[in-house]
Amino acid sequence: MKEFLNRALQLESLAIVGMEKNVGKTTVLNYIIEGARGRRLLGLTSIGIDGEAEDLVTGTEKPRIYVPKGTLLATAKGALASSDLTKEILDTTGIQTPMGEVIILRALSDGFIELMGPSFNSGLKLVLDKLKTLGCETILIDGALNRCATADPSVSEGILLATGAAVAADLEGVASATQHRLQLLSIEAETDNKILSVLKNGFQQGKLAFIREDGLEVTTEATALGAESIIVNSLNSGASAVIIKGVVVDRLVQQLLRHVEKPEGKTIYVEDGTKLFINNEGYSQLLRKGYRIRGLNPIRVMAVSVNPFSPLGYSLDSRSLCVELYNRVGLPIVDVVSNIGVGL
Amino acid sequence: MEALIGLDYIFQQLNIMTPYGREGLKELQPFKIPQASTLMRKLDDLDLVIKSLKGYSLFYNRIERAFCRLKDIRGSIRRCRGREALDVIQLFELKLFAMGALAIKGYYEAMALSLEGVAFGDLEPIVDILDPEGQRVGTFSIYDAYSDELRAVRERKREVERGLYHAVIPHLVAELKEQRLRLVAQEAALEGELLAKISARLLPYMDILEAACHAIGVLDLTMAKAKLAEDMGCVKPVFQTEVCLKLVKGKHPYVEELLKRQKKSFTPIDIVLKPGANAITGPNMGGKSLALKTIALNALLAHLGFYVFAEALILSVFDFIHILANDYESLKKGLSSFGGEIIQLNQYLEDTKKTRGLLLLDEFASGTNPQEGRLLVKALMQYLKNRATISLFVTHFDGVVEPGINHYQVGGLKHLELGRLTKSLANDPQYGVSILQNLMDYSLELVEAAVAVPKDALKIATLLGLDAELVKAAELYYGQEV
Repeated sequence: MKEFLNRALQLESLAIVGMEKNVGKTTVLNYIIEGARGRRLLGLTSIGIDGEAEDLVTGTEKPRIYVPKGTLLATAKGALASSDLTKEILDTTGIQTPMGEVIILRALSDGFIELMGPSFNSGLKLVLDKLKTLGCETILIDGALNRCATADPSVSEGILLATGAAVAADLEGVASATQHRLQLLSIEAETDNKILSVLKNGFQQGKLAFIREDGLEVTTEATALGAESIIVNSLNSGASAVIIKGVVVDRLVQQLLRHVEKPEGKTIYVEDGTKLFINNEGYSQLLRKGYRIRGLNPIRVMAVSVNPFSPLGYSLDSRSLCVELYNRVGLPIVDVVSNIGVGL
Repeated sequence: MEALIGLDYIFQQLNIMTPYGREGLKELQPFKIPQASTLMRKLDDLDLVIKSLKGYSLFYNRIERAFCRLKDIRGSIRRCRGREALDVIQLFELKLFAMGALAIKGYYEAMALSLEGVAFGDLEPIVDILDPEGQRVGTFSIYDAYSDELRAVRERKREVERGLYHAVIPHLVAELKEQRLRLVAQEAALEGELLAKISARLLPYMDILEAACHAIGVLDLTMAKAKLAEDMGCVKPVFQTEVCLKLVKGKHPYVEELLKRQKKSFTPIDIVLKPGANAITGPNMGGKSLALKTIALNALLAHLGFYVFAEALILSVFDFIHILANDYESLKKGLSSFGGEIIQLNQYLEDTKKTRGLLLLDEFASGTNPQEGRLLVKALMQYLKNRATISLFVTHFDGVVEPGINHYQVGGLKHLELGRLTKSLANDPQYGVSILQNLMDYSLELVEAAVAVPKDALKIATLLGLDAELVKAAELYYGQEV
């Protein structure tokens, strides 16, 4: 487990992203924070909305984040009211959230905090820069896998994926779902420099674009959702790749599988793996038909954390789950509560 | 009117850095005759700043950097004055503002410029209140130094937290957590009291803070005006008591920019306007309207305390600068453009009776039948002829300018023969407008005798591709009537 902590604290920034609610994201966060006490100056923020004190749906009490004196935080003004530490205000950011402006502060004592950071990429980058300038050695980002969030976990150096019994009814279910999610997160990034510059242009200029022989074609569509027929027609009429800024969902996958005539070698470009919301079956079929799925920004998953307890009251065998996951994905798997670590 | 003459383009070029400067710009009003001395002072101050830009560039850079970090404390000032307690973030912003303003005051006073409206009171006591430990760091917290009781509570809380860190036995942990929560509540209560106390201590200094906001606003705006004048080669307008407006090589920077992009150049205008009626006549597309807007823009800029876009501008202070142009608002109010014009004119004429100003009329009465229009323009010119107000008529009507009225004409196409025009047309029929612009003479010429307006309309229409058969038919009529 020390190995896991060491690796986490070596990173400049680490986003902790949960597959579901109640997968122990906050527990892992607290574990790393505690492990950093006295070793690394930590910065903390979140992407979008942090959990409420009590999960409204399942009624479980969500543990709040407890930080040691000296930690730097970026959170909304409104969230400060439910934080109970002695604080020093270091800066305001001008970034607005539903709970007010994001403030940068230093903890002058230990205490509980509520995190509510920026919900947009540019805001997050600004906050990370400020925290770095103020001396943070490692910044932890409490993240969300949310199809609505435009925040980009690839802004951070690495990702920790939190999973657990809350994801599925049995061990096999949790393992498959987690494996699939990891596959999607780990899609290859495009490496060809020429294509990369075309890609960057495409993502900058619109939400849906195509690569053809004679160059980049940017459409004026506001979103790829609902534009399935346009995508199918373009791929059938000579486009070698489609560039989608935003999420890719099952409906598009179905249309591609059914109506595109010569799919071999065609590429689907997304910003990163968090934008893929497609089921295992559809994904496998796409690959079998010869599609390539590539991201602009690579995501480095450095570990997976496991919470064997389900909010419905039962629990899975942690060691078996960790071993099964390790066998499937080959990444370090940890259960910080039961002190189990596999593949470290 | 601002959009009509291009004033908003100028404002957009200003690099204003603080919310106080932005407010200053929003509230800018042209100076009137009773405020003439203030206007002179504003222009002299601007001159001082422009001349010091190079020599004091280091100071100006530091001031600009301080500007960037200033927060908007106007809301906090209002709250404090309303006897409300400020929160810890508002106190942070006040502290940073006071420290920033102190720095700006230092640089400003070192430059010894003494600009009107830029004076800083003593801000040190404000920083002292918000920095009880004398650290002079750009951060804020409810310091232990504010209250011994607070210091004690926090020490006890730290002890409990240390205990929590090491504790393992569950019921001990629970007890310590309880203790901690009680101490947290105590700390929160004490902090709340202190916030109110600190806010009350700051109350007497709100005037000084507000004055600092104002001073920074004026300084910011003046620096922005100075940089603009330097960058765009503007000159200081010269005000005098004799009623006149003399513009030498006047330009319209927005139009000049547009033309530059098309690789064309702007023809600067020279004109001298006298009290009473003045006129610019000439063919369509000859630049009459633009000349009027150029005069309006520069006159207004001068009255706002800006430098102007010309080689020279000599003028008297006007109590008003009015433009009467095609009013799209009339349609909304259910009036024809002519109806709207008359209603506006009435208001403006009232002003000419009370005081003296600058009245610019762009194609007055062109929204009604030409016979009556002509006569109305002629009559209005006579009406305004002996007033102190300078009025400038831009009109395409013929024979309305009586002797004794200051009369300019645009060069137009009179230097060209029709044959050459049609030849160019044969080569590039779609570029009629562009050719027209290239061939048009936009300079203004003073006309001595009552010269007729050149009959260029048909030439222009031909150049723009009017159907050849129609041109022939028109020429027949021309032959009969002209």
